[in-house]
Amino acid sequence: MVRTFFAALGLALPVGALVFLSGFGTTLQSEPNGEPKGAAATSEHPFGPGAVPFDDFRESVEGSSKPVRGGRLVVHIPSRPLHLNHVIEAGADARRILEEVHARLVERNMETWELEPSLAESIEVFDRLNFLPSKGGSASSVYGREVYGSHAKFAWLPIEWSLPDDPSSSEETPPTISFFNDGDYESVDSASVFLFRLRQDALWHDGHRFDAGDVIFTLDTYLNPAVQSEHARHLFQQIRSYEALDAYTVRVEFEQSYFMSLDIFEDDFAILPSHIFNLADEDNPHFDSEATDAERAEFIHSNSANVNWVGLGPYRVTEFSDQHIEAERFDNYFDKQDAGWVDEIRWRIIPDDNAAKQALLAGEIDFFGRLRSRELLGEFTAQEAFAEQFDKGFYYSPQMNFIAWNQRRALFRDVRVRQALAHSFDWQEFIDTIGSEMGEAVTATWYRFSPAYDAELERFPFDLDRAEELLAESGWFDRDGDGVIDKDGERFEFEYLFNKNDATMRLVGQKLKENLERIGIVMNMAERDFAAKQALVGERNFDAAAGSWILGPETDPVGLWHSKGADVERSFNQSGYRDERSDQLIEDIQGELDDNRRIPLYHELQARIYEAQPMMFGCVFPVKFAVSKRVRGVQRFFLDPGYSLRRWFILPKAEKR
Amino acid sequence: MIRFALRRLGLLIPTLFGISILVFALMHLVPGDPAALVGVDSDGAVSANVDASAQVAGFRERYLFDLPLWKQYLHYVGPFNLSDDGHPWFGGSGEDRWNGLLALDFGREFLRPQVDVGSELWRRLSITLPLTAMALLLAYLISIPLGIYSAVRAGSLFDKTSALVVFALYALPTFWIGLLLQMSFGRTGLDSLPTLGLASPDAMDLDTGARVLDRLAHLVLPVLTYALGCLAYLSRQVRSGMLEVIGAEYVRTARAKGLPEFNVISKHAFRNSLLPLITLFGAVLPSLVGGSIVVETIFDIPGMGLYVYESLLRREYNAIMAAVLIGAVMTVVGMLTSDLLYAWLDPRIRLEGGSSDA
Amino acid sequence: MSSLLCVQDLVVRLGSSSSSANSGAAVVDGASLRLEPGEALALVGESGCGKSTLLAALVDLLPPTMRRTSGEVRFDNRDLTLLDPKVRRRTLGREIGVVFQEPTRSLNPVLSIGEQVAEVLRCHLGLAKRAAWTRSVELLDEVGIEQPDLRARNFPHQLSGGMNQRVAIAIAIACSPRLLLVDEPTTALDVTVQKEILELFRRLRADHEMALLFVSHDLAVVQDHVDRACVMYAGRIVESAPVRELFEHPQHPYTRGLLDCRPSRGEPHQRLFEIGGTVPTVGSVPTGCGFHPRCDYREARCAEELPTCESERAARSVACFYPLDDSGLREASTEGGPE
Ligand SMILES: Nc1ncnc2c1ncn2[C@@H]1O[C@H](COP(=O)(O)OP(=O)(O)OP(=O)(O)O)[C@@H](O)[C@H]1O
Ligand code: SF4
Ligand SMILES: [Mg+2]
Repeated sequence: MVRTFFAALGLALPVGALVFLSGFGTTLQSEPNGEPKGAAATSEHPFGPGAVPFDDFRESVEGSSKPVRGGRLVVHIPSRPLHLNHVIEAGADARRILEEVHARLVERNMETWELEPSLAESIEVFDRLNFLPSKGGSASSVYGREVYGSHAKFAWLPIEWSLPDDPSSSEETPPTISFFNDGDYESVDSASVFLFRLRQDALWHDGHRFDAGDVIFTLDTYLNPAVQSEHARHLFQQIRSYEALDAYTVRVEFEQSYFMSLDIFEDDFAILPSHIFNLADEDNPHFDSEATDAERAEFIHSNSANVNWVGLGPYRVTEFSDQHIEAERFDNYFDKQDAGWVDEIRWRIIPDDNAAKQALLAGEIDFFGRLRSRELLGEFTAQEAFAEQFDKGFYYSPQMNFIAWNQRRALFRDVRVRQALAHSFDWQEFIDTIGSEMGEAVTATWYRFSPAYDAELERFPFDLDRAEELLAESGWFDRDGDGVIDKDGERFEFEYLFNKNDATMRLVGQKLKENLERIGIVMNMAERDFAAKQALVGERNFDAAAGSWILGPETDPVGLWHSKGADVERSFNQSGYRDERSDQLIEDIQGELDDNRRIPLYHELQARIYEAQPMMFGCVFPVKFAVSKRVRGVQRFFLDPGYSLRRWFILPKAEKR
Repeated sequence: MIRFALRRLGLLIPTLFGISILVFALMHLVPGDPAALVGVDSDGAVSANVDASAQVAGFRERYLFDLPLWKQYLHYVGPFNLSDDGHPWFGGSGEDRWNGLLALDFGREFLRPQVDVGSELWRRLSITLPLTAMALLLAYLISIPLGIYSAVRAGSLFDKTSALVVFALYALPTFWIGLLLQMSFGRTGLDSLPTLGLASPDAMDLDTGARVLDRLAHLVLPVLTYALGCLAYLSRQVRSGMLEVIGAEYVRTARAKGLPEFNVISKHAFRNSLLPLITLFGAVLPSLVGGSIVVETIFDIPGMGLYVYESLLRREYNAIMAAVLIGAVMTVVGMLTSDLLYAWLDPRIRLEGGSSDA
Repeated sequence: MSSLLCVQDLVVRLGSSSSSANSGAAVVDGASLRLEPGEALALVGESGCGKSTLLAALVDLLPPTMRRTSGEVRFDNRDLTLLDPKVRRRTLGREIGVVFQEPTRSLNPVLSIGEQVAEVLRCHLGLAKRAAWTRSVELLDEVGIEQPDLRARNFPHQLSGGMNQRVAIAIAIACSPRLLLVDEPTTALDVTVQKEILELFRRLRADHEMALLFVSHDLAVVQDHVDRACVMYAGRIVESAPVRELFEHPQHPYTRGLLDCRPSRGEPHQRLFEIGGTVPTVGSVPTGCGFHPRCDYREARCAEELPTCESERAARSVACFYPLDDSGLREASTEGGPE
């Protein structure tokens, strides 16, 4: 998890303050000799955080596993990214590409799931807690300081402590220091200050030097009301102030301590080159110091660099066409250890899966991530054209599907009704038939394989008798003998809204409809295109709506489950769930900076929400992929995007095609 | 005839406005915001940490979606800003760079704001037009002789087999034809033709000649698929038109004149049988620019068909409007062309009257 | 010297060419006639009796719904249907000119009339484009079209029916054929135009020395312009005689009936006499003599046996068991007329 060994005072206090000083873990980095090395740690769950071996899904591995430079990798993506400017849009395909053509202040280690310094060479975090002594007296402040550095991953220090000169010494067992006794103080507020010390050797792909100005400009952009960045703006609105202390130091102060305040600088913070996008930058050929917010926004929106991307990653975009996006190795990439093996990466865009499979069999693509379970296990991958060229495998990515019940409608107000519905669908059978036994039924809207998820929580079993019982208890049974249960003269009839291109949720609907028919409920299928479905759900003009969430390794539950979103149009609290205890738990999670301490909070929240069944919790299916035998160094990560192209290399003998 | 054409073209402008009002209203009445597509992957899964309500609200404000529809329409047509806080006329104030349809500004896309709809349409047209033109040409080149021959030999074995083949083609969805062609000529079959896209990924590295060949090779299967799709209809149309004409008195006269059979068919019969075909031309022109979603999907060609389809899914109102308007222009021009052709081929029709009875 | 055109026992039946030999109702049933070079022959009969069909069969241009099942048509002693298509094409249009019924419909609506004339000239006489045009203007002039050079550029729909008739004739005579077949060229035209057209034929025959087969439903119209006439009834030729004799002494009761239908001079449009009953339609021609249900002179035999013309070579022939004598009466009539 994010800041595993970070024990902030806010948590430490009530239980007797403990402060750690810790050096942490090994990192996975290619050693200078080019031999990649996996992390040593093991994890509880096979798909959770932990070491990921290379090429383990292959039946046999021939040839050397020593990476070599050169060659071209062709990776399939299923839709044309709108552009690569992540500030104004957050599409999944663009993110996959940015993974290699861009760099971030902090990067997530795909094995440990931890954030690590990247463009920010080191990050110092000051978590300030203001105390009010419970026995009276004046308030005082204590600062905690956390350092994410390139050698000592991070460390927690009292303010007066400084980083040891010799980084290796920090790997020793941290001293434990007690500050306070239980009950002496209560926390009144907290705040975090981030000090990003930027690398001085990072270059934009056009050769321009990266510096604090780019970071400040990007923050400006996220917060510029005229920019189309509302999807992420709320994250940056938690920032009280930000400034560049010098050309390579950025100070960011948050209003409050927030458990994901560093995370937002990973996933959601796409740094824009100021000299290209900033009208007020003197290095910009269109420099205009008087530009208004709207003009600056317009300049960003219509900028051709949105597609002709200039980034900071190990690969440089050379072509952005309808057919493919092409990138070549950028020799000036700052992290020489992890700078990529292949010379070129081509993301081949083929929206039609059948067409893409044709191209796959024809050997035109090296990686295809949209196999179906039946194909993975059946004839498709058994055929010679496939078996000769490809290996197959799967990985999970943080997603889940669901059916939201609109609790604003009388039909779904009674929890017994919603529980009855939960009893009416056999997810395991669905996974066994549709997913060929690959997939996991879930009970929460957080990632099935993250520590936050409580796998012990029991699902409502498929049990139509129990469902009928529950319905009868809440007053729903067939009074008039027409085969449909009723109450107060109303029949139990509702509409199941789903995206017409979503084959999975269509099948779920069909099966659910059959089951419900048997217990006297009429469910009508209502298919809409995605935008229309989303609009109806957003206006809360629906009975039941199918959908699926793309999650993170950890996702703030506030958007989905806090009652403050229940009455806000288009918020993601689609079912209108409100529960005081849940609100409290969510707020606690947000303020809890200790990863381990958040787990029980998540588990309790999970149980509460699951019991209330605001939605029917669906399942997560793995991503089933095919990868060319000529490609090596492939690791399956259980986080998006599931693979790291910069680690892949091409077997020399197979390279010529 | 020129006056007729001018008058017809003059009618185009009110027609276009009528259509634009209709489509504008319809488009906005269909539920769905372009902003809903932010943070969505290709399968419709939504990023759970996106702030959708702020995103949609921002969009609606930025693009004036909350104004009454008539104000939005006026804003679309010209640079009339009718929002409560704006000036009645403006331009160049920096608040809004929109020039309006009257200035032939088709605007930008919402989700890909770097894309200018006008130039994108032009780009897509330059992909679709050659393809559909070649396909239709091919379809006509095959279906005309085929239809004529079937009509001349009505009831013969040739006629019957060709009818069978043509009906089979008609019944087979274009989608199947495309896949069949891909499988037979692609790498998994004869390995003789490329099956995806309009050019090899490495076409940039080729010299001009090779690049042209490469492009042509890529066009073969899509053109064939598209052509086969309309072939059945066209050849049946030619056949029935021809059959009607072949029994006509003047064809018998032509035979009685002792003219060679080829002459009888091509000069006397065909020219008259063309007349009903010309009416089709009004429909052909819009389909030239419309492309085919199916063909473009199977062969991964980013043409007009897909553009319109994607725009509809994404509620890219500006793109939809522009495409519809171009389609409308092409329809009107197509109808005008067919009237003019009719008049050219059939001296009985006079166009000076203004209204057409064709 | 043999006849120019000799038709023997021609049978035309309904049904496409692939139908079996004797299936389908007969539209023309055993017609025989002959035409000497330069001779003018009228073929007369009521509407629907098969005149046009016979004419089409002569040039082998039957509609696809009919076919010739037996009999012979010899032009210049050659059977047209058996000829090599190329040779036949050279005969049609060049040696045989045809003017079909309804001139407006038999002209191509999308070609100028000049072109329609000129194309025959180019095809058969090998004239060059310009020469063919000049000649076609001359021909149009010849058939009595005023301002032929302007008219040549007109399309059929711009001309009156009479004009189109002339154009059709111009096409037919363009190569000075030896035989001209014309189908009701005067029907639907007003009397003055009728006269002009008939005069035109007379002049053409004099100038070009051609034989003429003139189809009409009105004997009176053609009587002054032809040498002989054949009377057709229900697909059969029932009487054939030099026109004057036919007029003065019709032998077949049907011919007699036809002549009595003629409008008298004073009241041109009033029929003085009607033949009772209705014309049989194709397929419902009665057995025996096809005319017997309507015949005032029928006997029992008439309903069973088919009377035939003795010989088409004879100057005069009639297909009737009880032909009328010169006084127009039958020797012994034992039965009354039809009910
Ligand atoms: N294309 C055709 N197919 C079938 N039957 C036809 C066709 N044309 C004519 N007939 C029929 O054949 C019979 C003879 O027709 P035909 O045209 O030869 O008569 P006609 O004597 O020329 O009559 P009219 O004076 O009206 O021209 C008529 O009963 C007619 O209904
Ligand atoms: S054969 Fe008999 S029925 Fe026929 S016309 Fe002569 S008399 Fe009349
Ligand atoms: Mg006739």
